[in-house]
Amino acid sequence: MSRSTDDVDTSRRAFLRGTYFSHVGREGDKQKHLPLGPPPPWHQDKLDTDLCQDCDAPCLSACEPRIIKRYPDGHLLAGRPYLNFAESGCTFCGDCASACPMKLDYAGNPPKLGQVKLDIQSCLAWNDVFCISCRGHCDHGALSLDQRRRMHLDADACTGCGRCLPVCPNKALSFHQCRSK
Amino acid sequence: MSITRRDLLKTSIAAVAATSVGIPLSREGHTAALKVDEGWRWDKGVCRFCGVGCGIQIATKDGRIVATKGDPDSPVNRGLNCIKGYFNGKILYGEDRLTEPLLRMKNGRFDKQGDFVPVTWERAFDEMEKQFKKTYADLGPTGVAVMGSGQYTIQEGYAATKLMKAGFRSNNIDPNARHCMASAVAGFMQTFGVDEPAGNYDDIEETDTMVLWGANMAEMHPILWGRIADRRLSNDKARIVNLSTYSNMSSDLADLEIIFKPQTDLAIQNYIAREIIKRDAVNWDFVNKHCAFATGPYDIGYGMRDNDTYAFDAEKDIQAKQNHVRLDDAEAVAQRRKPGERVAQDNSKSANKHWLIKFEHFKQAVEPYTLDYVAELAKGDADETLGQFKLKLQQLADLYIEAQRKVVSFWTMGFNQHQRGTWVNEQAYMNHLLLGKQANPGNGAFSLTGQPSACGTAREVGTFSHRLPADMVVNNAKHRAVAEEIWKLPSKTLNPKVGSHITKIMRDLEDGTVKWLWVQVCNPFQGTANANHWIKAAREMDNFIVVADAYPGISTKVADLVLPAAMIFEKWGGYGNAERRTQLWREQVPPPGQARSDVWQVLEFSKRFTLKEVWGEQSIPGLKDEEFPSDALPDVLDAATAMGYSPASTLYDVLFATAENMKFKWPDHIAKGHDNHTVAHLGDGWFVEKALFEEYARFGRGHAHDLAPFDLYMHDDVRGLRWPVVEGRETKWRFNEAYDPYVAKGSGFDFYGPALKSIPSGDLDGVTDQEKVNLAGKAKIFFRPYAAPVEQPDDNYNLWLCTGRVLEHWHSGTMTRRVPELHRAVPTAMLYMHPRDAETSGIRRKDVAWIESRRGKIKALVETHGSRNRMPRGTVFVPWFDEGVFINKLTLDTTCPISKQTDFKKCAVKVYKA
Amino acid sequence: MNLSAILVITAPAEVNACMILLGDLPGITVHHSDPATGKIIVTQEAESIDVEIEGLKHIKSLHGVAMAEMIYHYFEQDEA
Repeated sequence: MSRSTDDVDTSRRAFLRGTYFSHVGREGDKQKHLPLGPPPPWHQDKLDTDLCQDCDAPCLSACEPRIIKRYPDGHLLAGRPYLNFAESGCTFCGDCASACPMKLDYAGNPPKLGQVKLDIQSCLAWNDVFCISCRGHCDHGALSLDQRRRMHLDADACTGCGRCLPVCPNKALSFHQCRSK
Repeated sequence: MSITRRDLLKTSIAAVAATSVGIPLSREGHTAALKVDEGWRWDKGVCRFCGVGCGIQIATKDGRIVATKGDPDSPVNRGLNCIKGYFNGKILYGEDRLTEPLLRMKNGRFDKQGDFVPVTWERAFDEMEKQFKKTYADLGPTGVAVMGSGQYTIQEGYAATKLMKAGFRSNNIDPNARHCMASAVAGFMQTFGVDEPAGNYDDIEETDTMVLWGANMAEMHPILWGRIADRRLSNDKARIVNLSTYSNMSSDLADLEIIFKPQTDLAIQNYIAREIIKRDAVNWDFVNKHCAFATGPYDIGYGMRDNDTYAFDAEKDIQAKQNHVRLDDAEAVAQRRKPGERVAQDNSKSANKHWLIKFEHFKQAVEPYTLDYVAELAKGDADETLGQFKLKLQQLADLYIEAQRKVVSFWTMGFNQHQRGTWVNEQAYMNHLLLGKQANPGNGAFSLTGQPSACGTAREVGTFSHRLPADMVVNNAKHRAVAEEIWKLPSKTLNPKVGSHITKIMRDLEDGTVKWLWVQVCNPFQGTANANHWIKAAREMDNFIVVADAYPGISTKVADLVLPAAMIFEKWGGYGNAERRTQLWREQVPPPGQARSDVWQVLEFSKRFTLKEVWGEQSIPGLKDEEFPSDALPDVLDAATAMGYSPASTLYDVLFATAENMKFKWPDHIAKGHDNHTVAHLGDGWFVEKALFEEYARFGRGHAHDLAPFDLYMHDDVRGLRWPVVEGRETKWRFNEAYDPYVAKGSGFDFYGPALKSIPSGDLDGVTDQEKVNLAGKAKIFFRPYAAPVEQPDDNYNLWLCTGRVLEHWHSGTMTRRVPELHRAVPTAMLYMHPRDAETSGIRRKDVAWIESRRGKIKALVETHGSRNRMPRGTVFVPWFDEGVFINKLTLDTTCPISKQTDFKKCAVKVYKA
Repeated sequence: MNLSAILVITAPAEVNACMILLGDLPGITVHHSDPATGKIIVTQEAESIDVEIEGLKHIKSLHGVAMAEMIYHYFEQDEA
């Protein structure tokens, strides 16, 4: 999906995530810089070289739903963890933070991972189809049907856990990372 | 795509869009709007899946379905679809569609241990015939069997049942619908003397109160649920109650959610009855005029085998309860006996007998069902207080009893798949009848069905081991005579001995008393409880199993011969939904490869038998009927010859291509250019589906089961009709004088069903006067007690297991799992359990866990959260659609002793980390 | 290939200006307009749903456009 100009973020973090380069160009290298997913929850905004060092990534095996993956070889962030929602979502168990050798400052409140957005053009529930597949996967009550059986997403209730993402039959749900401060 | 076509499409799409938002169009615009689907052929059809029976529109182009949409003109769904229904078109196009017959072979010959090899239809039928004739010669008509379906089209079910019952003289044909609504049928027959609901879906818009008993409509009947939601949200007075053994998506909209312990619905309903009497709310005018009280024996067993010859060691303790039960405390109170009493199950084989009682008896029987007793027994959520639960039960009783309030009770598998399924169905009528809230717009106990033609085919056509069309039964001489007349059979051709029900056919395979089986339109080796036994029997016994299916599944894997079947829109057909609405459709696209319709398969197979092979004397072990020789059916060949048949006539000539049927010529203008591959392959020019439909309709016309002419259903403006259709008008509420032409004038209500209306009388303990009382025109209000489930959690198997469906998948998933979108939505069956139960077992969410019962063990992923199903402590749920999570290896094959429907909703398991 | 019809709503005075802007967009064809209500119907041709949605967002961002919604969607599988 193409990006509009207001998405450009020239901070160091954006540099690491590849957004800067991917916007500027170097088409051939695009894959190398594209972020593959958000960082694990308690690493939010902390996934830079100072706070996430090369290690054996114990967060991967600590992750119960197995959604933490590592950037592949050849990627600018090779070896560092990110979240992949292809099969499941985050349970905010905190085990990744506990396992992290960087002694993350892990306060009790689960962070918001990002924001899921519902595209009503492709959402079947907005097109005269009784569909509730996403809803059953939401632990946070963020997805509900209105009186006309259309699906609504409560942005405040959504934690960005991503559990609803893989199940949508029509791929109407998308994940949007929280913009860094 | 060519530029011009693309431009045309753009113009057309824009024109349609403009029209829909009210932009005035030029003349060219209008022309373009008409061209949007140019090259597409739209036609009406019916959804392939559940018993709701939604109308859909199907667009085809170049022999392929290109689009489907909810039919806006359908009164059932009004343009809406559920997610399965939305993908109707895609189920035809899975990559692994079966397109040619496959026979297990070694060295060019059939071999049960061989691999599947593609063969021609000719070769397939040769082997089927050879194996059939071998078994038929050895074992007679009881040695062969057909497993049918509530997904049969009307014509398929009719052809199969006629071939089995009239041709092969075997009553061993039974549908998977036995697992679906047999208890509902038995409830209807015993209560009203006639099958199927009085009301219809319009009740939803007419009522104030919708009570769901073991029916998760939000997932299983989503379009009706949509109508319920609309009713709830548009009417302040409307209330929804969800009674279930766990919290499900129907609870989202419920005003009252009652989580009860498995099987205690029996006690809750008696509590309501007791309240009705206690609060003096009995509608005496209605009850005196239209009802009678009745009861039956309690010691009826659990529909299991009565011996442990085939039982695994671990199963033997439960199996023994088929013969003797020790009453627990609650059961003893409920049945007015002593706790710990050992009760012989003497009425296991006469479970359906019943007798008239007086109201005083009835009142005495429900007296023990006090709020305290029932609440203590029934409370299903350990995290709820007894006080809260009692309050809920009182609110439930209030809703039923409130004089001005209309009430509809809906149920499906929670009641029907129940060790006392018939009882619990009858109890629903009990309360509605006591209140006079039955057979009235907005008032009634409404049995929903699961399958698209459980009503239309399995029940109305009568593809059960005991039934004939139009509510008739094989063990009634008058009914057989009617069928023999319509079918032009010599007297005593039909077999009066009830055949094996579907679970019994499985047991017969294990026993070796059935050695030839044809499975049609179902996947019974995945769908029958206690599956390890049946898979072993299929593969290890000396038998021949034919499975006709569209996709490979567990049943095709255990088969010896696989026949590729045409799917719904690849053939002409008809379904009947849960509100008695019969809907027919045309063939839309040709079946792929060598796949053919089940009707063609049945008719083609019938060509291979002559009368002298089947209508001679036949051995029927155990047949006792004063009009028949002992253990045998008589030779009827002489009588057949006298009727003009030749012993060399084939069953095809005698049963199907009759002179009357051949009058329905193909092509027919009603086809509007649509093909008919069944007719094309038979090659003799008669319109099979129309002829069979009209022949079948003769059974019901004039007998309160009137179907309209075939052509009327095909009419462009008709979206199905609710029978009885009398003088072109459908019947919305049966038994109600204002709507039902069969009701005696001036009676107001008339429960005119003729079956089981002449019964002896007695008291709660048994018959005291054998003289039969005639209850014509009346419905029975049954007293039925609470009975404890035969298998309950104990120290070893500590959890209840409930199974069921999910919204996204249909039954065993053979169709819906081929649709990528649906597979993506629910890729695998999960084990739903309470987080604390998981914790106790050392399991975390998304772990793989073993689930184990006395009968087998399997692995599944654990789900403890989410808002689909929330389990109370002590109960787990696993859907059965996923052949990779083969839950029916664990379930118990206990059935309602009256209806023979399996209880898939309760058995005991343990769960531990894999 | 995806074809979709999009309803664009503008201030009645802006209809003509918007039609010119819309006409310049890749894959967009302007078909009908109703100056009285400010409604315009365009079709969009795109390779994928993603591209389509991007295009829709772009239309929404045009000067003078009050609202744009996809109201008809046609999807055709490429011939194998």
